[in-house]
Amino acid sequence: MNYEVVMGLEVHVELATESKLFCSCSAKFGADANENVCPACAGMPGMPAVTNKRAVELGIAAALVTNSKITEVMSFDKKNYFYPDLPTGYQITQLYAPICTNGSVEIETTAGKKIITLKQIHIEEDAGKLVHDHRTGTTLVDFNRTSVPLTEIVSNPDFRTADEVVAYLEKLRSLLSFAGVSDCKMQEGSMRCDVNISVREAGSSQLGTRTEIKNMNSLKAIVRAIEYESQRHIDALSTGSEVLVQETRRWDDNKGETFSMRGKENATDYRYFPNPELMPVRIDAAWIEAVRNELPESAADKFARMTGEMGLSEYDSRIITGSKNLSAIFDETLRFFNRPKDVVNWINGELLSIAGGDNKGSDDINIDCERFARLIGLVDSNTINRTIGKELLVKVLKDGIDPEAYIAEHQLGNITDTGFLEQLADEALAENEPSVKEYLEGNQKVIGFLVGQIMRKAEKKADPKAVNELVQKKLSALH
Amino acid sequence: MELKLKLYLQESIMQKGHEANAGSTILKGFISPFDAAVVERSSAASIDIAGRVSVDEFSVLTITDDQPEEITPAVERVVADLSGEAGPATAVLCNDLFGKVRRQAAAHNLYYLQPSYGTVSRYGLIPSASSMDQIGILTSNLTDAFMLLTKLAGKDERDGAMYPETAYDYGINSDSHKDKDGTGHTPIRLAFPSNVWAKKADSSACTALFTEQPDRFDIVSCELKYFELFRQVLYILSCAEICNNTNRYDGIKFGYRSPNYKSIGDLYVNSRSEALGLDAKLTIIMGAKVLAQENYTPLYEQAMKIRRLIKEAVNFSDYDVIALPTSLSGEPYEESALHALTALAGLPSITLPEGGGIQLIANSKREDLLYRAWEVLKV
Ligand SMILES: [Zn+2]
Repeated sequence: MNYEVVMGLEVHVELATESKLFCSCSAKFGADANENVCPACAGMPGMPAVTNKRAVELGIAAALVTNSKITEVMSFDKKNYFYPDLPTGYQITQLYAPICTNGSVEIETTAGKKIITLKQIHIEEDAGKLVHDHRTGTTLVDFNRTSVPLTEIVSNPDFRTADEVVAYLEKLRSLLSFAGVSDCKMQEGSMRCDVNISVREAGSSQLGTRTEIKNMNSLKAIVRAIEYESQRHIDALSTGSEVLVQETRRWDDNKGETFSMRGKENATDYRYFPNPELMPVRIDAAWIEAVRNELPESAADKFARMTGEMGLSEYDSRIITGSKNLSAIFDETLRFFNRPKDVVNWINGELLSIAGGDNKGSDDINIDCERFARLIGLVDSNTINRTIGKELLVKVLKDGIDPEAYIAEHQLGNITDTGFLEQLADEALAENEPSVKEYLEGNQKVIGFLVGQIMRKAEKKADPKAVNELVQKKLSALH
Repeated sequence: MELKLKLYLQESIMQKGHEANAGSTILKGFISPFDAAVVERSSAASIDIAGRVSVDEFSVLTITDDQPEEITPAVERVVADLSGEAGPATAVLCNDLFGKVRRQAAAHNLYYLQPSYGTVSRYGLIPSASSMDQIGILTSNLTDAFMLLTKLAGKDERDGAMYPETAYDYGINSDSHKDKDGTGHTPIRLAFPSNVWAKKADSSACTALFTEQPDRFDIVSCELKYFELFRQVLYILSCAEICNNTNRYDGIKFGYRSPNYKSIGDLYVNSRSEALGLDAKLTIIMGAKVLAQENYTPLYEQAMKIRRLIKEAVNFSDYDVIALPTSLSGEPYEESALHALTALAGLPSITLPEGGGIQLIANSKREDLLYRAWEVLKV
């Protein structure tokens, strides 16, 4: 029998606001435990929640890039439950009037293009983090994440393969990160997802029993979890080995299997009700237009511009637009050195190989673009050669050196004294008579060898092109 | 003009460095980490806080007690100050959710000024029912209370449910309002809802206050629609909100934590069981019930709908001010209906002892009409 896997996704994305959703604490990642906490987000009484307008704007941006219908008057609701990472005892979220509904996202897999439809996007606050100390047997709470704004993007059950899920997550990441909605870093938890999965006989219109795998934050793990869980469903249906129940499960990446979260989480009544302390938020056409006008260029538009008016290759443009951070570095560097082809070559060649050598993703590269641009300019003007340029790029990236100052201090500039270069060339030719002879017998390849010899004598501080010309000139004079 | 007042705070209002326990053992020893907005504004107006008075736990409705109702500490405070040496008037900032303070105020010859919802910041007020919580003023001098309110009211960015106006003057400084013989003023159209007053044995003392001054008040007849549902709607919605707002008292980060626990579940249950009072527990259980999935639509949502109908039915184009008695039978739950309109519709009111106790309710942000009425009545 043929089975069809049916999946829906709930993707949680952290909104890139400076401050939290309902208080003015910093929402930045990476602070010391309980550094970003005030009485409000620690759950103390007496500080009424006040909606962070910027979070709503980012929600509008998310709605725009997912072609969603924006709710005219959105409101917040409260979801009640007790857990130590939730100091107020309720999460402020949106159930009855979420910020937008009925969106769509186009994805592309090897099987072709497909539209994934979205049920809704809503804004909600994150919870804190529990830290278990196994040594003392205690549990500590870190409230830095409490009330950090998230959006949850809820799709319809439109997915049939893990490929589609991956393509969708990558597309969402591109749409949302380019729109400035979120930095979408899975490893920092700013993007994570729940996968709803069920299996039915191919051709059936009924949905099978659905299970939900919670809190996935790596594409690799998601693919493995989907494969495992869909196979579990298929086995259950085809062999009757177990009875599927609607439940929440978690993925154990070490064991490579999902397991049931037994007990309360599957049977809680969250007693949702409209948040009485927050006024509904009216989102009028003017506000939507203002957000639309400030939307940064999308990856697709940037790709079109790069391959179009900039005349760059699709291959190079795809690398740059595959990462919001690379795109930002590209744009910023262009401001100081407006030669797209050169900048793209430096990013996709040197910069990525250096950063990759340090085990860093392209999203984490942090470079002073003005210095980067100056460095490219120095190589372009033959002040230094490309080899030294690459060595300096390592230092710009890691130590933030000033290229000109460093070159002057370490005398790395190209030898500009042509008399001295000629002298080195003459020496090299004299020392390598066999090679010169080979050349005279018609072997052009020895030119490269001779250039190398001269570069070595110059301690690499010469323009290889100029040296090449010099060798050619000298050799042809021998004819 | 400088305002001199002895100003007290109920224990539900934060005053930095002072215990703010909202009348609950679960907040015993909880020291306010900051000043409430009303405290900041009072001190900006050079009014010191004279002290704090205790309050019914989270201002919940007291219904378990069979004993005759005791005098509330806020009223007791003002009465005590009145009987002492002559000096400035006393005022207590209260959150009088179910009208207990207002009922008692009228009975003890005191006044209460309830501002419009959304005009006085609740920053620093320990919340009970957020959609109704309102800091009001219990006082021995209503004119001073209006003066005080001009200092306290105005938008505060830290309270997300406020009107945009940054200040209000209620016509206090306008000359025409000081004009005692009423020239230039059309009479205030005063509505006595017949369906409410019919429940009162003798209302002649109340109506006489106004009929004696026909050039200042036009008595208008009206019905207060849905009045028989007021207390249920108030109770359902406030229980739900109080239930939710008290989730935070879980024994984890602050407040009382039971020493008797082995698991996190025990910690929650025992801390709350040991430290919350019976009325608060009943309120919380009712609230949880009302919000439960199976009851949400028939109870909570229904009450929300009726609340909207109640608001819409109050038609301030036919009258300027509604007059209601401050007490009927003396039974707290029943009488909460009389004070439900201000809570449910966010309306301002003044409560007066005159005529055996009367409250005047105006449209939102029309405290000026109440002030005008008071200017006439106090003469
Ligand atoms: Zn905070």
